[in-house]
Amino acid sequence: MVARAVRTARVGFWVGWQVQSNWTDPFLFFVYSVARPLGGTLILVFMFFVVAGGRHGPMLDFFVVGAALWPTVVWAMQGLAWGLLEDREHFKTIAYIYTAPIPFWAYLVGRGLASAVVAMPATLLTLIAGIALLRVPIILPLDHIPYLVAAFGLGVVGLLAIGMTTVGLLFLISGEAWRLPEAMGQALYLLCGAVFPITVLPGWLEPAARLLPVTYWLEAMRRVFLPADAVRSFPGMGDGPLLGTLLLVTAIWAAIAALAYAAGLTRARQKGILDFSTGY
Amino acid sequence: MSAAIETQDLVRTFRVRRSKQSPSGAPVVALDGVTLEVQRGEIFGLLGPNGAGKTTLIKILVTLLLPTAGRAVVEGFDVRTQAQQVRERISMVSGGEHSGYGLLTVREQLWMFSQFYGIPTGEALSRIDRLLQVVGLFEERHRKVQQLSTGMRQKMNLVRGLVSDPRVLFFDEPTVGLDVGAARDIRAYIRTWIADRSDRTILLTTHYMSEAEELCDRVAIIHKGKIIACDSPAQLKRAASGGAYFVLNTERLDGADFLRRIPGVSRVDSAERDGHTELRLQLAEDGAIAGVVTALTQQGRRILQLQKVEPTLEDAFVTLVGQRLEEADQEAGGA
Amino acid sequence: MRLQRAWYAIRGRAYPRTVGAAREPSWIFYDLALPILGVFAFVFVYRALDAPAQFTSYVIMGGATIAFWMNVMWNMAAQFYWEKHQGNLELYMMAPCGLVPILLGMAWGGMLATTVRAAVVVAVGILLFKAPLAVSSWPLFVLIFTLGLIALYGLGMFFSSLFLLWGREAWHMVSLLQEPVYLVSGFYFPVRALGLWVGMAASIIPITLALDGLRQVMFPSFHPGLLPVRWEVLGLAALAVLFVVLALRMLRFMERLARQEGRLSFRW
Ligand SMILES: Nc1ncnc2c1ncn2[C@@H]1O[C@H](COP(=O)(O)OP(=O)(O)O)[C@@H](O)[C@H]1O
Ligand SMILES: [Mg+2]
Repeated sequence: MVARAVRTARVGFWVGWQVQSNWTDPFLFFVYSVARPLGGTLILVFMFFVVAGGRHGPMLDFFVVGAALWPTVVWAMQGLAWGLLEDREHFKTIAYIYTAPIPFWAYLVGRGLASAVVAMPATLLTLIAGIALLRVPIILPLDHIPYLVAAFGLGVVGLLAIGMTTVGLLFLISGEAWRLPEAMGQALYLLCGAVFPITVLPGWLEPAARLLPVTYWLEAMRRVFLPADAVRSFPGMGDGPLLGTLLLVTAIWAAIAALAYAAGLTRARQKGILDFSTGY
Repeated sequence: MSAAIETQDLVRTFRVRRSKQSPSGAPVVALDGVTLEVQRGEIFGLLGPNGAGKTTLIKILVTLLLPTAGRAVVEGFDVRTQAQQVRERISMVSGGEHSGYGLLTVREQLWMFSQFYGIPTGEALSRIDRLLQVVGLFEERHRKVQQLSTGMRQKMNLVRGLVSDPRVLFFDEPTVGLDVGAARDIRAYIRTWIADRSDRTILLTTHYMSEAEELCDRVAIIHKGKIIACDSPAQLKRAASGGAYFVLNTERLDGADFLRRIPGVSRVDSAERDGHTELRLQLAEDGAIAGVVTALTQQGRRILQLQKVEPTLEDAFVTLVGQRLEEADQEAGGA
Repeated sequence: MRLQRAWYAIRGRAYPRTVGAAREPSWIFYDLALPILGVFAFVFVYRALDAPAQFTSYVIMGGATIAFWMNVMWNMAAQFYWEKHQGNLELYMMAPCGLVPILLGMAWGGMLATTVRAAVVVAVGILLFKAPLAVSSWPLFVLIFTLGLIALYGLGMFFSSLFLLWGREAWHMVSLLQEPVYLVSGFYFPVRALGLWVGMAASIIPITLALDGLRQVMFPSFHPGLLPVRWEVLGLAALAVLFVVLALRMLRFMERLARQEGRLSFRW
């Protein structure tokens, strides 16, 4: 069972890589790994400068790390969700893939992972631009690396879980919904304090932020990359408890994802819309 | 009588990337000097294997594609320079078409398309309802398009093509992929439609001999972008009847090659039918059948049935192209 | 006669959009609720920076504008990609009404969702975030808004013509025109911050001048305008004419090219 899931995920990874990797096409690389991520970061930078009038400050560092990691968030979810949509609407192969004796979810996980890897250059480029042009004090002491690996891994699992929950929804809605993953990303942008500490969220929104793995993941990554006096979303929480909370929230989301996926699939099969394709 | 469609030395080539058809990357010649004249009131058929250029010809005539060379005129208007006038007078229905929006109901979808032809809503809806009744889809008019079966969907597409009351209707393999019943309904309706309207014209491409034979007043056989014959089905068959045709049932044969070597036998097609072999023989003259019978007896095969038959359109096709349609399809790389 | 047909066609193509929105209300979730949350993230960015209240209004205006930008780019320009895929593009092309009414129909049909989205952004901004909105001259406000909209839809039609020839490539092109456009057109901050010349260059996108003009009308003393409002109005009028004319010519040109190249249908 596990071996089969892993094998299927590898197939998904390979397909996702073929579909999405853009390193060989300069135009696509420019669009998805340079222009859009840097555009998103520069918006924040100019917002900062408009208010701060040219001075540097810790919020700028906060922005840069959040914006740098953002492509991974969107892409991991998008890779998964588009795995479904493309196979359903574009290649029209969902019926074959689904009826083949493979766990479809594992295939989607593979696609999500491929996508997350494709997002890496954007992250690196943004961080490098931040260091070189904005003098963001990004450091990576060697002894932070285990923490980085653990937090990053958990974060990706959390993202895939959110993506899989989205897939549960996508089973039931039409192809017009290809924007859903990106829209989920936009909502997360607010809710998990991607570009501001969640302490500025009003009291009624802050609990939402605390329920999302991405919030803790971003905080953990900031603690890895930025000096100890940087702006924080959870000023009172130590590094260890932060990682523990991330683990817990990720586990909860994995369970939600499993439920949402199963429920969406069952419902779609009941309604006979597993392989539909509509638009307007 | 005047021509509804006229083409003269129509050529169309496609630049392609390297592929099986064109390993060198040289342009694919889809149409290679097609000259045709379709009269008003005719159902004209274009019969040919996959890749023969049927769709390409239709696309040029419906103004979706420009010819590389040559001229094409529809209802007196040049498709190249008077596309607008042509568009006002035509419509097209293709087989396996998935046009429209799945969320709309059949009636809504048809209404939408009618609006692109400037038909006032009241008039459009009454035409749609009438046509839906004729094709037997009236009961389904409030069903969503995405819930239709392939056959129903194609009937809806047929109504779409008719609702603007075109002067010239183009059908590109209209019954492809349909079950026998649905295909028969569609053919029946195509025939009635034109029977009531002597000034209208239908150009239909097909891959099915029987469809061409049943529907068309005249048929052009197109192969590798060239028209190799153009006449009424009856005339085409007569032209092909250089010889005699027999159908012979015999006990199961392992191969028919030994029959092909018999003098006077021009062609043998064999097919397995519930345990025995059915041979379709084209002979130079009636007498050659004796050699076939002798050869089979020598092989120890009993003859179950022997019948002299009239040549079919398929025979005409074979005579003209030198291949059966399926063989030509396979050569073109299958469906 | 031709005008009537065009009007029928606009109405016809708008129809699936409007009933689609009613029959598949899921868009309220993914096209309205979630993206709006994303817009408000920028409000909190300014809060975290202790910016004055007017900045909240900048974000609100940018967020409302995104609704229009998305309608033009995705529901109109890029829609041809999908239509080609489905085989509708050929049928549209063959219809005597021509492509322009069909494009307008798509945009018009998407307008309901767009207006709702823009209105919700503004309403939430005013009610929840207390964004100050004061308009010093309504006629000027409406004029700038209208000119901007015409130019924007002209630009969208121009882009749609690219889809007649290209598919996936044009799709990526439209995808590119998100964050970078939000940046150079100053969706969330005064475009002047980019410098005069960058702002001028970015003015080729009609939203740049429209947003800057509207902001000047709203916050005459607070907003650092790119150019005097009068100039911006003139510029927008010029862009409106330019893009509409260019779009019509481009559509004709690309149609011809697509017929020549055989690119109107989707080939596997
Ligand atoms: N847009 C195109 N680009 C490249 N080659 C094409 C295109 N359209 C048709 N062809 C080629 O032209 C030939 C004729 O195609 P077509 O007219 O579709 O044949 P038919 O409809 O008779 O099966 C085929 O070899 C086909 O591959
Ligand atoms: Mg064909």
